[in-house]
Amino acid sequence: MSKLIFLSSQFKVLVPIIKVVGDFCNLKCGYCFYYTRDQLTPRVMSGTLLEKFLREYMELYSGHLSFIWHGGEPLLAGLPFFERVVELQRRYLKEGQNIKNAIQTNATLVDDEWADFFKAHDFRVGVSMDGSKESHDHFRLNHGGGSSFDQVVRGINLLRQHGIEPGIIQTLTHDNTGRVREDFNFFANILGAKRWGVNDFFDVKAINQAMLDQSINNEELVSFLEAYIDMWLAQDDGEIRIREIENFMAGVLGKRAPSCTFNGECNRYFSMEYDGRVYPCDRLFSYPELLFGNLMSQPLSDILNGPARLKFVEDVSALHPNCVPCEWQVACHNGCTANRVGEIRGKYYFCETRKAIFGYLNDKLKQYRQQDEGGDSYNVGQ
Amino acid sequence: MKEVIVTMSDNSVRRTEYGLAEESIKRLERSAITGSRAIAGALTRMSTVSNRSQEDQSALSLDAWQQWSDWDNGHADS
Repeated sequence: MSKLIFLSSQFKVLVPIIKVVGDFCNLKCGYCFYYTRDQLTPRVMSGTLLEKFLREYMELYSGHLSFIWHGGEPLLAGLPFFERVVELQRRYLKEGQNIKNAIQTNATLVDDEWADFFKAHDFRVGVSMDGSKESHDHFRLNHGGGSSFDQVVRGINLLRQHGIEPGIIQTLTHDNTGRVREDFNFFANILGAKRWGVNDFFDVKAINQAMLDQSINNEELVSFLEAYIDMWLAQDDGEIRIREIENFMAGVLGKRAPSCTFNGECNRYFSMEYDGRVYPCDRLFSYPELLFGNLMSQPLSDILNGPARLKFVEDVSALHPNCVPCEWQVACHNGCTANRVGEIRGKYYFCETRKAIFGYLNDKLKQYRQQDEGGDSYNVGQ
Repeated sequence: MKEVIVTMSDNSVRRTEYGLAEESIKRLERSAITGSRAIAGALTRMSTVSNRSQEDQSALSLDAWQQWSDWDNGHADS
């Protein structure tokens, strides 16, 4: 019963990641974890399911509510779908609730209408882009094998023309670890991005056999992150936010990291497929045992309070034995659940990277403190 | 010197977190050392977010909440 109480608490709002079109996408990126699935068949969440979800979710939680709209390529659901989303959110809004919508898109379908809509309804837009044309077009191709780079740049420019500055998500593979300087320079000085994040490609379950040699290893990731930190410091722009650097920095300074892959709150999310299947995260759809339930046939509260989710919460929160003596334990929380080796309770594959980069950034910040005359009053780890 | 977060009253925890950060940020912004402004920017952003669990993010001001979670849409890109 106590678990039911914590779920319904106004402070424990779970954040939904809604895959409105399943795997349906107009691109066929080589590293996509849906690459081996059918990405061509059009699928869109039904209006009935959308309304059931929003009605039950907004009844369940109070306070600040975030919705993350995902795919596949979510814009393939069409503008009327998202107009219905905001209409339903308005209809079911309760006193004291605030709503924030975020959408992750490849930006190739953005036009004036979409940009107007995002601006009018204050959508946060994240764009998937891997760097310079050479990096981006290595894997982010359309179904005919053609480039998507120019379309993405066009989409970003359209968003900016409408007053939206998108965040960027860069995917790091073995291929683009060799172009770290070029890609940083592209984002910071050519595209003019002010915030971006880096998703490391690591196919822990070896699903995409054709891409196994593109999974990055600890050595590559350490080298990449050290280079990014150095370039971020050299760029010296207080407005540039690189998600990974801020996460590591938060850990070094004893602050709470912003990302679930660092702050141990993976269980604060759930992901829903276009057909109502609910999983813990869109990165964990390949774990059938982690299916929490199906909204088509069950109430959302039953799914989120069900045994599969409660077991997941327990598993994901379990401390790995290797973490016990680690000085960075509370800054890392054994990393991303989807990149743990063997099982959900397994060791985070990039554990060694985490230790190395926490140490690297810690040393860097100590150097700054030493160079700074009065410099003992910002807190840097030992 | 590692910042230690202990169980105290909310006010004392917040004073510890934010007071030191503000002082650091001001000095870093004035510094001529390359990289200082980048660090100051990061510290400024961290200073607006509670150091405590996301469980109490709902208790944040609307502005702080808006800033806090606008990166969370990068989940499924790879």
